[in-house]
Amino acid sequence: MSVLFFETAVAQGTKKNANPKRIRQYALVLSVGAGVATYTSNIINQGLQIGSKRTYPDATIRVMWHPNYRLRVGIETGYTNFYSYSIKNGEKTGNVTLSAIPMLIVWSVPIVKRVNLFAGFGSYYLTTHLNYQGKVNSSSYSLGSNLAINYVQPITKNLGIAAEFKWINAFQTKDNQIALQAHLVWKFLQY
Amino acid sequence: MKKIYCIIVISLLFFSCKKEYSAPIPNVTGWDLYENSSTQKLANTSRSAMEGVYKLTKGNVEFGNLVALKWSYVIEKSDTTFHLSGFFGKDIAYFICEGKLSNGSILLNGYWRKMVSVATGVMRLTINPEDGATMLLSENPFSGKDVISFDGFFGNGEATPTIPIHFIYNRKLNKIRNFKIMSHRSGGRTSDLLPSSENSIGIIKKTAEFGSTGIEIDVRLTKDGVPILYHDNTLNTREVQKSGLLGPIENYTFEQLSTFVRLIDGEKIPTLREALRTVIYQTPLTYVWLDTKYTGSIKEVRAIQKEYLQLAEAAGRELEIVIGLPTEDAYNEFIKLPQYTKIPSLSEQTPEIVQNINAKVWAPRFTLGIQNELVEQVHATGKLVFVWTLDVPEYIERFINEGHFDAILSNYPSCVAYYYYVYQ
Repeated sequence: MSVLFFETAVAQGTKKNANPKRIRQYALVLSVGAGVATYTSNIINQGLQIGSKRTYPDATIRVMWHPNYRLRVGIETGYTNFYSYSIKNGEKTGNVTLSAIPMLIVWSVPIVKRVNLFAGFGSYYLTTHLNYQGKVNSSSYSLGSNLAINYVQPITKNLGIAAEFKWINAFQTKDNQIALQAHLVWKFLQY
Repeated sequence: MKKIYCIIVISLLFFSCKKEYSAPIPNVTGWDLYENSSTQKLANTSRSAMEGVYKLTKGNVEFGNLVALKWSYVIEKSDTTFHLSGFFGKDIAYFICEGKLSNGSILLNGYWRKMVSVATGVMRLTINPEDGATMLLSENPFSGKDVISFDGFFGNGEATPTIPIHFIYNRKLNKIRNFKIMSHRSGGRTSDLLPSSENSIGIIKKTAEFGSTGIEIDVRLTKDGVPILYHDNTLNTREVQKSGLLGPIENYTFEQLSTFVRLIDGEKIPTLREALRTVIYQTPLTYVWLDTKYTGSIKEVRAIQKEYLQLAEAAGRELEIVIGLPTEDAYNEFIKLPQYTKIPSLSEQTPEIVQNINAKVWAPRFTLGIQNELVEQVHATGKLVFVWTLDVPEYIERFINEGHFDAILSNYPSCVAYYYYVYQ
């Protein structure tokens, strides 16, 4: 493993001191991850519920712009199910699943070597999948944020794998979720 | 760099955390004298003679110098419960009490609330025999300056009331013009932490206690065409509990909504029929403004309006129900109805449109000002003029004192009631 783009700013700072003619170097880094997410907010019980599910697989795609300073910025999306529940109303049964697609602007900073902190703010595109006396797919937006921390293990000069822990908060709809994901991190452009 | 970490974390916390406020009605039990089995109901004549404008001699620091007292009622099955409401001039405060007779004294037990905050507490009042109770309980009770006075205590939150309050009769309630006190969203907004959600059956039953004589109802259609009460475009946590159902309310059938969705207070989203049935058979309300919040046919709403006007008439109830037309789209749908000029309606557009469709009411927004000249022109054609939506006490006072309107629509009917009843 030669030069690692995951190096922290501590190392960058050393380079800077060693070479006053700093080389301007930017990169775009794609991170694709999947894992498991658990809904942590309350699900209102109307008294008709016969079951609920809070844990689902989820996925994240993130592109970050790495300038030659520590604060990075990018965009993030993905897919997750927040929760689902089923009801029994007399002889009638039905279920609801709420899914979310984050659309966030994300900032990140390396905090120690190979460990990065992410904070995102933006919107969640939420879709209700209702199956009760007919099927309905109905969508809405919720303002929201996320907070994540990851550890990146370099594999090659431009490729690494990461473990990421994330807190997802669609605060307008009062939906919270935590997720643990494995990511493939690829520096696909450097200029 | 530490600053950046801090800013990110603090920003996230700031945007993620929201304090939840509440103003629950305090527990008003615990007044032994009031709960004594020997207490009796008050007669109707005693109640009506009690109404009036009173001057505060104690408690005026908290509530202002005047209070307007007005009785209302709500009917549950065969029981009628009467409430004495007091509308204060400070901090949009009011009290709501029930009354009983005990050993020649009149006892009133209830709670007070300030709408500018979450402040609330218990209120206990007494009219002693020598302070007017004997006269009020006589065969021919009357009102007159200084002949009735209330003595009592109020407290904060659930605390036993210990702060003295006293008020004495000053004059009759103002009743010039057949003025209507219209409450917004069937009685008030959920965000104002009222005891029931906006556009609910619960708030319709309670709104007369807040001073309303009429209500504005927000009407939307479900996917299967059922007119329901709901204000916003979408299901959201401002109006309903979290259920997993999101997006436009028109995406769901009535059965889906009534099975899965609950208003913030736990009630189901009511149908327009349920709301009008409540108005006619359970409240003293005399005016209903059906605000058509959706785009589409008004045919079903018109059918319900016609049916419930007939039911009100059959029940001997003085009630007007008008279809509100806030937009050109609603107007275009309205004029598709057969004989639309004979349908009671309200237009928020221009006085010319009011004339064209023979609407009963023109309803300009308050930002257009008092515009007395135009209001009088509309009056001259036999139409009423309602102004909406006034919530600032200073504006409410000005529009009542200087304006010629027939009604004010407000989220704070108690404030409108105060300025209207004390006007002289």
